[in-house]
Amino acid sequence: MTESPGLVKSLRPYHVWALGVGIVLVGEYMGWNFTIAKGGVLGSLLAMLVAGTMYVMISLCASELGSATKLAGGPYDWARLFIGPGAAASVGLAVYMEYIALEAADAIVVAFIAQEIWPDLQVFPVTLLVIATLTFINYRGVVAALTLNFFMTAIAFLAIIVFFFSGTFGVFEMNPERLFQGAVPNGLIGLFAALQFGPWFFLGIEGAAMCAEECKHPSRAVPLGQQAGMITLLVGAAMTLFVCTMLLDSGVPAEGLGVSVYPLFEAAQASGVYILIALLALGTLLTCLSSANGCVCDSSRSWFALSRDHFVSPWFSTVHPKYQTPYRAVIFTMPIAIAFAFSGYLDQVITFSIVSGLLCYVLIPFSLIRFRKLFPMNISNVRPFISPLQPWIAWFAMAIAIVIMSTLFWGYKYNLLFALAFYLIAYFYFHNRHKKHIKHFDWSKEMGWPNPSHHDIKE
Amino acid sequence: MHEIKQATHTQVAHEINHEKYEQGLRKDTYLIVVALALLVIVQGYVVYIVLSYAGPAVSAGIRGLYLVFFLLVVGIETIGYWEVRKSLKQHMHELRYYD
Repeated sequence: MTESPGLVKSLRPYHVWALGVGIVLVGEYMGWNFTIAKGGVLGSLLAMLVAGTMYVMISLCASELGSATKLAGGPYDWARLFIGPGAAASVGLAVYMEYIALEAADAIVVAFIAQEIWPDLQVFPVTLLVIATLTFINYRGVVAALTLNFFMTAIAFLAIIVFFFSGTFGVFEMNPERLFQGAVPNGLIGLFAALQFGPWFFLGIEGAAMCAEECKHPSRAVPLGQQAGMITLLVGAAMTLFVCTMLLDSGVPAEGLGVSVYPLFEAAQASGVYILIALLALGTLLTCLSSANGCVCDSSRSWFALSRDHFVSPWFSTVHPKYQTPYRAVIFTMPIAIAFAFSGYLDQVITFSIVSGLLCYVLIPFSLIRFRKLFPMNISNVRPFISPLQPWIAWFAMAIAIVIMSTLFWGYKYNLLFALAFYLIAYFYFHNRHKKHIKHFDWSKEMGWPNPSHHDIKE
Repeated sequence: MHEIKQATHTQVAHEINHEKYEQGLRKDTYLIVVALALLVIVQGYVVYIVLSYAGPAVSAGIRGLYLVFFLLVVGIETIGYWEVRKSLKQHMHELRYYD
């Protein structure tokens, strides 16, 4: 690793929260309801709880790894330090693809919303404008980009809370009988099939730790902000599922909630309360923008980290002298996001993003297991935050990620096989490329840590 | 070397504003407690209501699965977030979290 050329260190816990929740909250405004189409109300609840368990465990792993390494690459850097170069570059690429595909999908949805409000607008130019504007904001500085995310995310989350409590306290009528009518329309197999869309509730929360290198106190900001983010998403997911299943029909898988494009907004329309309709419409728009904004931030950091270690051209690892952002990596997100956006296959783009994420969810806990093995000592400069119940929860998280990945065989067999082949090729390509730049890794100089335990055994 | 380190630690302990640090930790603790309470109340309420109405559609064994995963989500997150507080308390002076 070359020395970091000076990313600005000014982020606080609420920025970490804004980055993590900002990326993910869009999944609670749209997309999660595909669990209803597969497994009904109970399928959706099971998917939320199983995926929630996996993400709680992964976010604890990410909090420990992020606060220990304090590097911008997140999962890429953890795999590089504790697994190996081939796995590291593959996971770095997976993170890049996961977020950039999500950014493209978010930008398309923003354009569609804009077109619904102003029918004269064209989708493609608006998509381009959204991507270009967010790239410019991230080019100008990480603090401004994530402060903007904080306000957009806070409004969108507040909209969910207001909607939930309005229903619970009788502002509009709820229909609990819908819960039984749409309980398990596809039988027990549907409960299992619904798991494939469970990650929608939380997809990308691990990215909160990717701003560790830019935090003022990463060992405080990362665990505090990331776990607050995880709780926000768990609360938001439960509230969303509750109000939507009470207000929209989920009895027939091919109709109603299971196929809704904007389920929270449609549930607000079903409530008939004008202020709630306006609030949830605003929330839908803001959550798409904040997700795309966070994705530009995270994907550029992953590319920056890959570049810094010569897996891709080192030209991308330059930091802007004035704004202290990895500006070339930021700008480079734009053509790739545009290429994804203009491919025209939104569902394929999203599925690729999910498979990329699931690959990370196998490698993040594995990185933690390796980290614990290489550095068993709990000293503050190595491990300022010690996540509990390890390594059991790391193994359990990997098992759940593999089970969820296997459920993609129902309906997305070719996407899954293509994505796995893509990352296998990437693994061998980067493994060979790394050989050209191989050099001795000095843990003391690069990380300020003692040598790992296996060094002692050899010596 | 050890003495130099200890001297530096003592110097740091004298330099910091203890009241400010206690207040900072208290604020973080409130955040953690409120977040965890919200998690338990909202998740518990939603799982209870959904299972009360839709639960009879599946067997008791399957309903047990929901209970297991509910306890896992809430239990692991509660333990995890409380560990975050422990870590803040342990390292706040050394790493100067509240300056």
